[in-house]
Amino acid sequence: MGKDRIREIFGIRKSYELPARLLDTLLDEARRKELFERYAFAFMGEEGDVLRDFFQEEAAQRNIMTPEQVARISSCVKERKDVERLARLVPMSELEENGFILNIPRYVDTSEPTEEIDLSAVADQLIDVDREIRKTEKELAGMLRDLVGPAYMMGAQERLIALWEGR
Amino acid sequence: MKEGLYRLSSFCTWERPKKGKKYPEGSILLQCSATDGQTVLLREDSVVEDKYCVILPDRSMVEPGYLHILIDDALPSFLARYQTGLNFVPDNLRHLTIPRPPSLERQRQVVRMWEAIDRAIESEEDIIRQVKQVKAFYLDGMFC
Repeated sequence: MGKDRIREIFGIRKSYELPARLLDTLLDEARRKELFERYAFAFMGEEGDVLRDFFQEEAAQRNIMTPEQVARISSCVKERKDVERLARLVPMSELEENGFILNIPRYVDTSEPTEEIDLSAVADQLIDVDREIRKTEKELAGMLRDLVGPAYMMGAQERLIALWEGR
Repeated sequence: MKEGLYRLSSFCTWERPKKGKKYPEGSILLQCSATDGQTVLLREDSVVEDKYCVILPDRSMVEPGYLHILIDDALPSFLARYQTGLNFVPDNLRHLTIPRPPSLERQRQVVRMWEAIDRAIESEEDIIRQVKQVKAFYLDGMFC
């Protein structure tokens, strides 16, 4: 089953119609049944994952929702339930306080939780890196000793050697 | 003042910069046009470009440097919630809450520590820049 056939089944003419067509299908029981009866073969056998692959590929390319995501959202809407980082029933007073702006993050915290920093591990790593730097600088100073160049360069080079050897 | 979160307006006022007006050192500038939350702490009295909103701390309650740290910390999640499009509407700062600041002396200690950490970072970055210069020097000479 090709992409064109899948588009035909769901009635998708343009890519941007995909989320709307999927929602139409998910929320319309008769349409779901009709599609299932007509195209059940598409979900079985070797072709079983064709639809999933199609939508996942479309989603990755166009930053649109997969059927699972659409189903999750439609279930939230139907059941009117609060889901952390996804959905919340907002009282009218809160909408009013926000000037009736319907920007979703105003009402639902969608931010990723910040990673906790292990200071002990950071300190150990800092000590290791610092040790590595000292070792490398000493090696570098040794190599610079073997380099000979014009007088204007040698003065600066001596200072670098003294700096890196002296740490 | 009890522990907990307080509205930003409890510790400062803010306004759009007035043309030609010099704002005092310690004012905090928040970029509002094409912003991703850039802030600047004024180190001397200055005229301010109109792409910023000027936050004027109430120094009887909060050290400007300390408030700057708090605002910087709170901005990413705050902007994710209240920014629409590229720009930020300064009036939305009324929704910003920050933890109750400690005593002014304690705030100064925190600011000194933050500044020392920033200096350490800048020094390390400067070392990297200079070592790259050394590498570039020897690389230039190698194939002459």
